[in-house]
Amino acid sequence: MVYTSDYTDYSADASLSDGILDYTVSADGSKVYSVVVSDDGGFAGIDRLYLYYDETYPSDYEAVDADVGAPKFDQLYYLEQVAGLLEFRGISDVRFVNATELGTALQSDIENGTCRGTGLVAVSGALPDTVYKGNADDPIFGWMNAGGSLYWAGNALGMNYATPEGLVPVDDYMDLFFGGDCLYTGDENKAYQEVSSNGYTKALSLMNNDVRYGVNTSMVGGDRACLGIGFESDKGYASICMVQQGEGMVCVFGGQLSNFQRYDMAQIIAAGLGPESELLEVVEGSVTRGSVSGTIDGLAGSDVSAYIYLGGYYPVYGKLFRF
Amino acid sequence: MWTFPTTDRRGFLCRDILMILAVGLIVRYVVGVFLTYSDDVQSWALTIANFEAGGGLYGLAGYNYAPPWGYILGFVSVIGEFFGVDMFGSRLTDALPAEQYSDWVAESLVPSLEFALMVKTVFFVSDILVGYLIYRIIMDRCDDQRKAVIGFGLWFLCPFVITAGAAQGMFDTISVLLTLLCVYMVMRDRCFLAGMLMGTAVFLKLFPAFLVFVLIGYILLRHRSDGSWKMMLIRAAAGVLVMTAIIFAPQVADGTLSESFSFLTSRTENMGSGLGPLVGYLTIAAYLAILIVSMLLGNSVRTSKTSDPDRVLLVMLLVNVAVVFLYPSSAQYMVLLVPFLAFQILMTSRRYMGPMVLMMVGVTMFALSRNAVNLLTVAGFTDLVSMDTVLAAIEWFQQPILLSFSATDILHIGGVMEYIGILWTLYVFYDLHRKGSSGLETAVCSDSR
Repeated sequence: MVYTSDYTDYSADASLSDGILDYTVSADGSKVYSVVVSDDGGFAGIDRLYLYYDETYPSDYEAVDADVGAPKFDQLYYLEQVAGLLEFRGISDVRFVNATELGTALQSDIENGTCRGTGLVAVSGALPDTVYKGNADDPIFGWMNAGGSLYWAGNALGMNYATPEGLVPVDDYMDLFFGGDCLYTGDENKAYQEVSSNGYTKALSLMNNDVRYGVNTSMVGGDRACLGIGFESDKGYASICMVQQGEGMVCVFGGQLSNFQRYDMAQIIAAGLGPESELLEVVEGSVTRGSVSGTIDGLAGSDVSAYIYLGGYYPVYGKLFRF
Repeated sequence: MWTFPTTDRRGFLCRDILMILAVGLIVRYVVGVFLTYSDDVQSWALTIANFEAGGGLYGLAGYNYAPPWGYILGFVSVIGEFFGVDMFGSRLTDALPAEQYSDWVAESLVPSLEFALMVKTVFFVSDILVGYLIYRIIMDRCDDQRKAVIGFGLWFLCPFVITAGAAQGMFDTISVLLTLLCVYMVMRDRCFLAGMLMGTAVFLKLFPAFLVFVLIGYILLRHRSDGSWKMMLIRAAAGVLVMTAIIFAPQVADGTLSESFSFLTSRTENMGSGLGPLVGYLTIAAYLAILIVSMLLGNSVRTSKTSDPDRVLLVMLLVNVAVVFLYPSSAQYMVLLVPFLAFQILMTSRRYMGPMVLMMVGVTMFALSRNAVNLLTVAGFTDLVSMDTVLAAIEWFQQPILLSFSATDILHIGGVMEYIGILWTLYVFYDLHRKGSSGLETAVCSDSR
């Protein structure tokens, strides 16, 4: 809450008919907006989300130093902030789960066929033994294969799993998740150029350029679809990468836990991107105390989605439309 | 033919003041266009975006101060919306290579020029109001418009006052405004209002809290004979309480009261994070020592035998502020010292001009030690400077140019000059006091020409 005038009402609407997208963006104040149209390749987007946090299990993540005067940058704070960032982007079905609850939830999703449209954010640096023990038949793989989406940050995915007693290292963990040794574990962490193969970095106002623990899309094994976005190092590691896992995916955010990484995570989840997403069109503009409408034509295909957000690099509103 | 300064009985908006205003504002906007310290200014943008998104001041991360500055940003955002400031900033991909010099040096999330100037304009307005208060206080004390005009000029044309708002984008000038208004109100026995102002000032920047003891000492001294000091103190305390309730009401309502104090707790923790807990403990010890000295100063005001309490108040506020900044301070904090130095230069002794000039140079250097990074906004959002030029300048600033010292290191010498200036200020006071001419002893406004 803050003392100010009541002018911060935003809304957006969109419809698709005969390959023509009609959109309307409204704001009581003055804001830039972006309409990001994608072919999401059949990815279901995220309707509900688990945030994994269990203080009884060890964690193994790296975090940046907090800004002067800011709260300490720990796992719980990070997750709470992700929830807050998703709320004004239209995703409010968010639930914290501990290790036991996570195991139960994933199993339930698999049994009930509700994996599609469900996401799991884990930034603990090690998944708990209730869902992952370094085997291909672990619940986490079953859940992803059935359509679940794992959003990961803070360490090399799968390198360890956590038990209440400690961390247990896993051999060949990259093969398990990616089918090849594609994670970056070197020391040169910053990427100074945008991923050039698509325009999502600018379109979604992505910010994190730390590629530590990030994925090199060219080194992902098998026939898994993958999409690297954000920023890319000279060695080809991307700050954000989505890799297909059966019907679902794993999305790896590079770098230590940081503000930029968290902003990107919220934006990617809210935008409903998947490993086969393809950017079709981006329209940017400005709306001041009123509504702006527009059309985008030539949108063929059955998997079109439009993510509309206001505020650019300082987003204040977001909404995903799937058609 | 124009001569400076002239006496003009038309009041504050005389020709000399208008000239100073014009020059000061032109310099501010030129500096404001070319230099922007991204880190702080973009965080103001983030704060506004956060509460516009419905996260309040503390629900979403980004705002690391007590509430008052956030409320002012709320007002700023309304103005921005009215004038159509729709884009707050951008991640400048072509500026990313600047980050290789470390995150501290450069962050390529850069506030837009329109947003930066919008916020800076608030600081410029505050600068004018502070200047007016300095003018008013000097006129009230000395009835000498020439001195009042010079006092206004010392503030409004002070290089580090200009850089604090125009380049650093920090809100210290508003803290100075509230503090000075509080002092002005106390001198007029408007203690409830003074309490409200002090309550706001303290939660804007903590430093004015150390001045409370001198202000209490002044009330006790001034109203010792008429016995009204109790009522004055009760009014002042009521003012503080009322303002505190107003300031924190939103946080109580949305359950973020503890977060609104994290600017205190987290700062102490963070201070120790880089160099070990010792630094955190030393910080606490240093401020405890400053607190004790502030109490002693307040007591010395209370027990003063002077017939001119206002003068004692102004002298001791200078000493108190200087003592507060004995703990190494950032450049922008120093603006709180300027009004009180100006008063003493014009009311007591020109010897205070020495430390003032030293600090004008040193503090400004210190403020600009973030080098060409400050040019990222003008390069990113205008064609006035190319990004290649800025990147080359950033690199140059990091290269050794004298032995192992880079230009950035040399600018850091300004920090040493700042500290010497503070010590010099205290020495001038001590020496004048030793000679019986510090202003604590005399009852008239001396002519320091």
